[in-house]
Amino acid sequence: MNRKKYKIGLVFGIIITLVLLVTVIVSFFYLPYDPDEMNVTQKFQAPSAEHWFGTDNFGRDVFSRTVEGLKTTFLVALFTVIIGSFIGTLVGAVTGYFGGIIDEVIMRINDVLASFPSMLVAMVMVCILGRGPVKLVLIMGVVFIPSFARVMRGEFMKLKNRDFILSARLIGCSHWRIMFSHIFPNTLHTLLSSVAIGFNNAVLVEASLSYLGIGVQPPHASLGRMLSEAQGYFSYIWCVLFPGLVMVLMILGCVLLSESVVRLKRR
Amino acid sequence: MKSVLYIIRKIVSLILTLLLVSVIAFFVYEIIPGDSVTSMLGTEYTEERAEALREELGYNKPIYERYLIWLENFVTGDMGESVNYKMPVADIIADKLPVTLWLGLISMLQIIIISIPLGVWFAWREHKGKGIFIEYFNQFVMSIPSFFLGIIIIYIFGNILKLFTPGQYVDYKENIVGFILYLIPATITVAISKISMVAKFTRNSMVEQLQADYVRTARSKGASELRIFLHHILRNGLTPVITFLGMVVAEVMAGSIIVEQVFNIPGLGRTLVVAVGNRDLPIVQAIIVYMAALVIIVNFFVDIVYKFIDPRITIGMGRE
Amino acid sequence: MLNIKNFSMKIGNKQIIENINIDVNDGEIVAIVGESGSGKTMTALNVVGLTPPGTVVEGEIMLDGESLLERKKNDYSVSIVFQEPMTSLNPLMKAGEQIDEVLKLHTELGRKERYNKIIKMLKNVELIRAKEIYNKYPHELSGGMRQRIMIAMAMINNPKLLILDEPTTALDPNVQEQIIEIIKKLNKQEKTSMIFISHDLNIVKNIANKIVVMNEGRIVESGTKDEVVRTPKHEYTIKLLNAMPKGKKMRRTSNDDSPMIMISDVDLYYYENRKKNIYNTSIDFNVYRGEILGLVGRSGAGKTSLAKAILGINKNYSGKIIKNVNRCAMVFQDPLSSLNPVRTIRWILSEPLKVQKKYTKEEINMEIKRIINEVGLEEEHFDRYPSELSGGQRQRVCIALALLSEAEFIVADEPVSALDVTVQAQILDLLLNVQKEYGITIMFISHDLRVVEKICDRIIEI
Repeated sequence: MNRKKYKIGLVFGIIITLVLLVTVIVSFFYLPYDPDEMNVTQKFQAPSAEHWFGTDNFGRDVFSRTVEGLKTTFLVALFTVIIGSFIGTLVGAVTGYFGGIIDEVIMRINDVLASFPSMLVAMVMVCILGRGPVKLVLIMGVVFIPSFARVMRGEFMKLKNRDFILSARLIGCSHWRIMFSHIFPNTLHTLLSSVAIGFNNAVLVEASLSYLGIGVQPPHASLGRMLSEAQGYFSYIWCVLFPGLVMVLMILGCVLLSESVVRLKRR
Repeated sequence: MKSVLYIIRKIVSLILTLLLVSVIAFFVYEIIPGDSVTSMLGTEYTEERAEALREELGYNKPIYERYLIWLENFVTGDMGESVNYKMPVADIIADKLPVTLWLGLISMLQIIIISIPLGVWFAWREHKGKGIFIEYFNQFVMSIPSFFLGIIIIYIFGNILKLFTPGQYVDYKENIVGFILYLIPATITVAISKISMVAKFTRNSMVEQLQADYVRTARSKGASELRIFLHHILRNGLTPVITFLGMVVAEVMAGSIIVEQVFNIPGLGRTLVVAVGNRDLPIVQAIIVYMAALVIIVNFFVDIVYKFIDPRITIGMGRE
Repeated sequence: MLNIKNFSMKIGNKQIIENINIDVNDGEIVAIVGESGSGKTMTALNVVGLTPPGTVVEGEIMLDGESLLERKKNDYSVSIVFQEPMTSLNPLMKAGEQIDEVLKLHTELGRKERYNKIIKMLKNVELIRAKEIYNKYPHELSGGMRQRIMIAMAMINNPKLLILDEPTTALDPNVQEQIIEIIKKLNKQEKTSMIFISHDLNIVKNIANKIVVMNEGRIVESGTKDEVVRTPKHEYTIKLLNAMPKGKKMRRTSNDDSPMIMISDVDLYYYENRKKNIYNTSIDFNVYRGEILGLVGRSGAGKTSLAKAILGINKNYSGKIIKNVNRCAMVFQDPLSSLNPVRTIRWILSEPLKVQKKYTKEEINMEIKRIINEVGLEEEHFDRYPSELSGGQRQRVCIALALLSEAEFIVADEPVSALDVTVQAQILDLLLNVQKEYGITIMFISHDLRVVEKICDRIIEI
């Protein structure tokens, strides 16, 4: 019964994520309007067949801008998760598998960092390093390392004392081989679900930073900034609603995916 | 005796963690590319002046000495001067801190009062074997970024229903009641997604207990389902929630930074955002240390409370 | 007194119990014996009314002429003690309060009377410092103490029938005996009828008046204890009784060659809060080439830790271990966790050969084919995952793994205690064959003295 329920979640998660993914891919080649093209005669048009999501205060097409923003957010989140999960896995694997004093030190620092909302840490780093798209991706990647490291360390610690790993040691496998050939495949579903959770956090952090004006900078379109700009002209609700909803969908898709993967795996 | 030891251990760990935070905050200040002397002097920059100022600020001393001086100053309330406002950071924080504390406190209250009964109710339904689609709704609510939610709330309750006037901030020093009323929509915004989160956690934690062996034992005693739920599952299921609430405090803090921006509330969060924008490091440093300390201290108390609720917590871990 | 008549049970479409008849008379202990999946526990759950959702029953269960199946609420005339004393008690409630709950639910007694009654009961199950134990939380009690609490809880309201579902399986052998004695005593004292469920005919022999043997949801044999144990009729019962290795081996007596492994003055310890806690000291013995050495000891004595220290995967010891051996292997107790769950059997078996880096792909394939037949598995098992094999099959894979890594010394750590009795015998036979054929030295760890005596050349107790 419950299994079925989570399958529904999984299907929805996959559909939502796929639709958004396809949209992002298509947007590389085609967009109905230039997202930055202003047209004062066309400003504040309500949604119509011509402008699906209406137009904003400069007469820009909200649909095209939303897709463009989606693309930015998507790419930032993607690179963030790639950096975070790759380095996080390495750090977690080494500290979790070998333990000892290095583990104590790294994890102590890790704990302090991870007890903070990732957004705060990202803000401080933006303050230190300054703004810019590459810097933003790097900052967010680094900010996400601790959470991945923590999860992977837990997995490696749990698995390294299991009988089958002891048996691999007796066979004479090297530490490296044990870590990545024996243990790592066992952590895949955990990694997968943390990647989904991480992705969704990254979307949130990027959108929040951009909303606060310290994330993605013009000329790159961003969902967060679209919202903060649209706050100035509330009554044209479509300027707020559509970018917001796309953001919600993006996060919802990830959450459903990660949730269902974990539940279905657990059985 | 054991409890006293436990608390002492926790206090030591608390102090160590706070020191670690201070070290990180201090070094963050040290590694900024382009030193702040240059930006402080701005257009009046000359080599001699910069050198003089460095001497005056003690930048030529060894790093650990500077750390100790900085720490001593910080603890005694001298947190430096804002680059932008040319005002002591301590004064700025003293002015803004109450706003954010109120915001966080009211949000936390809402979260605790609403989410726990909600989570328990979800679990009770699960216990009774009812399929729930509320869970999906909950998931949906959790997925709404707080600034989007805030804008929607302002639009619906402010612009359409006219229940409050957006942007008409009331200072807490003039009218505390008006101030709190102004905060309410903002606190709701912060609280909603956290309520979903905590409710979900509560539910999962309780549902995990439903299959426990001791529940079967209780059932074999002939206890009614309601009694089993209230006497056995509830307490076991709720203890982990306390720890989770400790973590939520940090989230509420992050939430308030954004929501202050959405609702135009001049608290620590807005100050932080502006300071980050201007790279006004003394303020950023101080606010981060404050927030960190708050989170760490709250979690310290959570640990202590937990110890008294769950008899299983002992000082160390037993044998594997 | 209790009559189970033509009783059948299904969960969904799966037949769990098929047409069983069991009678329990006043003051009698009836044992239900069978392997996992035989339906013995489900029978018990039906009697107490704790059936899982989706259960469909047929037939009757009567207690003193009243149908138990139609009862609305459990009045605790039938009580039950479960197998897992670790998890069956509420971790946040004091032991005494948990017993008290029964009295609160089913009697009108006042607080003082209830307390006195509980203290008396606790003393009755031989918990001497009863008042102290009343206020303890479950985590502060040992497994044996918790099981006594469970028994006290089950007996406190003088039930007509007490069901004991493998009450001693999770406990140490010496604690097992104490619990059995308490159960016998209570049976005599209170004249309570009991159903004792177990997988082990040997335990049951000591306690039951009547024995019912179940297999795959059916009763294959029942009768008085002597009938079933002395003159078993059904072949399944005989199989259970003879579930001991058949292979007879030559006993080695001469210790003239130099020892393969020398263990001298070894202390085992663990760390708690960075404090060294020594839990076994001055262990001293040798292992000789080609022998099967039995290693026994109470639980917590560090049998497994010592074995791991010998193999070099446990550093928490002091003293001297000298090894004159190239490759070692270990066969673990829990066959599920000893094989990598995300890898196929083929991958797992190829690994020791791949690591040696001196074989080609074909050679590896040939070799694992040869070995897998040797341990009694087929090539069709190659592409399965460990979770798709039975416990016995997994244990065979572990033995194959030891052979493939060309181990001269194998530690077999309770290799059969997680298996059904009939499978146990097969695995022990396999171990004996392998030992004979390859001349491997085996250190056999077990808590079961009967098994150890049967297959080992020498026995060491630590």
